Amino acid sequence: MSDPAETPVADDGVLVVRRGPGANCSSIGSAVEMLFLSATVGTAILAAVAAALDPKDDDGEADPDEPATLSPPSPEAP
Amino acid sequence: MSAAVTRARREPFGAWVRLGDDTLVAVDRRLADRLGLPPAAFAPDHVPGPLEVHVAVTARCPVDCAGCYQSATHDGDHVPFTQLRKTLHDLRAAGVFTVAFGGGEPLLRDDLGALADEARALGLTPVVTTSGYGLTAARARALGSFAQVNVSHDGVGGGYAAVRGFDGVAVAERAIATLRAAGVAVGINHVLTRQNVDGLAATVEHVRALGARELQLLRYKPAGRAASLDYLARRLTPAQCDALGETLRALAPTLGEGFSVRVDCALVPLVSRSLPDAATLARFGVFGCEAGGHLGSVRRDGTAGGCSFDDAPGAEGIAGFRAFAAAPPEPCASCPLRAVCRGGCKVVSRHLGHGFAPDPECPRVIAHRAADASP
Repeated sequence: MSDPAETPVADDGVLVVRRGPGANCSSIGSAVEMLFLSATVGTAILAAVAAALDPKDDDGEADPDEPATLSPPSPEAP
Repeated sequence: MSAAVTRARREPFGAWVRLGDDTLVAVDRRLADRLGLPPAAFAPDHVPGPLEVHVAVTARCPVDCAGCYQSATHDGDHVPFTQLRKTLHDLRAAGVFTVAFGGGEPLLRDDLGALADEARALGLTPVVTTSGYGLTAARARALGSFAQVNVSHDGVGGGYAAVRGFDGVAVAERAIATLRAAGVAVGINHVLTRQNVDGLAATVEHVRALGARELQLLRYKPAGRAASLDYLARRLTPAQCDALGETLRALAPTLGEGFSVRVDCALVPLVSRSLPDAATLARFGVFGCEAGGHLGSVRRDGTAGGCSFDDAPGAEGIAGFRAFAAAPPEPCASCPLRAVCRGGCKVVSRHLGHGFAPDPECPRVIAHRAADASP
């Protein structure tokens, strides 16, 4: 992928979202859902990430047993 | 630091941060500041470290896969634990997020679980690939620190035997069941060759039913024992490459929650005719050849490489990967997917005598060369 520095800056500050971790020991993979995203789903994923990272939603008392997770919506049919 | 962030690395553009489900996010400087990440200074010639590093932990393997890229043997040596511990500490210091253990057969190490524990303690996300040979219920329970264990399974209907030269399906599927019973997340490594690609859809359904949460598709690469003339009889045909892109496009919306299919870095150019624009791909973290960039490797002797297939001495390979990505020749130079694809797989281009060159199996490269050759 390109350098995140070359990615247009979004209003919410999220430049790149990469689902992981993948577990292959010989090459690095990318989810096919992300290869063929519709614009609507892509926007929803970015919004979900931005919301998860929004510092004003963070009370600073996170339960260490319940790390924040991101569950982007499934890609819709083209 | 924000509670949503489990690990972070400052970068000149802002930061890479990891969320609780191992999603990686690049954020700009303003958001990095708002997340409370400590500031960092960078030299003008700063070179970012890798996000993911593949670490070879053994040269020993009980099976004899025809195309083993590491040429592992029954009596190969294990890498000393002390060396691996130092490697993990070095990777943590370099800001690496994910460490993928490979071999040989990592399960032959009695201390594999301890290696994962060590990685976890350092804040790294450990993952591993195995054939499943040697896995018992007790061993599976010791692998709980791994974020995911990938089991090699090259397909139903004889696909496995066609790729590896022996039928290890029963062992692989027993390993999947054993890992699932131990509560370990399971993925599948699936090498694509012209002999098994037609069974892809059936394999997806099969491994999903077995409880895998991911299927990683891998391009067959001419390295190790696969670096032979036989490669030409195993690689995907141009027609299969064209069909693969459309197969994946049709597959993507059917996967739903809880199961994912991934393509490896080397497959990106082969399916490039089916892909959207580079900006969209980059926004969603699609990786082409990241060797020497976001991807690195640590060989059995402890030296660093650009990727697991990089056998160039010292850092020569890393330098070659980076130099190519910075200034590729045509047709990569003007390719709209250049920033993501990064020229395709150099393991293939080097094996076929082109050196660090555009991937000779990329359909765009094939078309470009055909146009050049026509009168």
